[in-house]
Amino acid sequence: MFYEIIFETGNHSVAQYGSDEEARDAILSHHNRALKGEKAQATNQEMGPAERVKKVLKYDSHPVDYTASQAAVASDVSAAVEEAINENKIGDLVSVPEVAAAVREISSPLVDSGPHESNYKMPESGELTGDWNE
Amino acid sequence: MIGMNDPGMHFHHREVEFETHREMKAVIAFQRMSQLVTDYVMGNSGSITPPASWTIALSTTAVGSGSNMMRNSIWSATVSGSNVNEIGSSTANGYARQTIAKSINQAGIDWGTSTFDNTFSTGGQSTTADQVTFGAFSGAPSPNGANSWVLTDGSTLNAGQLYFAGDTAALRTFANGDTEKVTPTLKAG
Repeated sequence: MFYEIIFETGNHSVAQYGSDEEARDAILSHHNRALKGEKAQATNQEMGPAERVKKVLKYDSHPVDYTASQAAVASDVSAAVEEAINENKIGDLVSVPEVAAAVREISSPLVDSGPHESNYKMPESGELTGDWNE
Repeated sequence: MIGMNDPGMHFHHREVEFETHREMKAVIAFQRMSQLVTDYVMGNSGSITPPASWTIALSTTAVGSGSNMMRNSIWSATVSGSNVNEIGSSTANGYARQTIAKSINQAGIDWGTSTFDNTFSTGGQSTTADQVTFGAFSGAPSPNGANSWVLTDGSTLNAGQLYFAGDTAALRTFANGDTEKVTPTLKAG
């Protein structure tokens, strides 16, 4: 299983664990370091402080896989082209590179989200709760 | 901070936001990065194209010639020759690749506004990505010990394309509760 760890700082990480129990132990260990004001990495004091955990989302596969094939529904591509044309056209003319960029964006696995929301388009399969929620 | 005195591409990275000093480290641009310039940028290829997004990995393999990385290196679980070997491929223990969007100042983690260095010998256009975080590790990944970070694609360990890489400031070994941060910068000139 893959887990998207969302830190209180707004940082995100994707981690792979064998079970929810393994995930909880690791994530809580880091969270507790933050509560104690300890470093993020035990053997590398230059790595900076540990961060408190805000939320943990679960995925059946790595969320980057959602669009990795770069295949898209044809109607989604048509809609993106039409929207890009409407947004960028001047008279009867439109910039081809701007339309192309809008089409390329369809295959991005990421979204522009709030600091404590998922970074990914892939719907999560659930949320992992733990003592960091208290 | 790392850099490369080479007439082609130059890569720099700041491994940690909190570093108080910067060190020159080894870097490498792999064949696929050059091929994207020649075939995709110059030639509008429909088959040699960038991935849907970039991913960033940690590798046990050091940057350098000989038994380390080479321009035509490939990902492989077999530690031999110039193969590039990823940490956590036998036992992840919290390790997974992190994602950098193929955009500028749009997604949560992507590339920043690029800047230009007009220096004749070492100048070029550079961009820095948002910092990525690995972990928290649940124990020692196997293999453990990162000597480099690698810009790659996909989520499957020891697979995908290699684009560029830089040495970590020192060998990084991970244990329960640890996280690791990398902030890659690309300087192309």
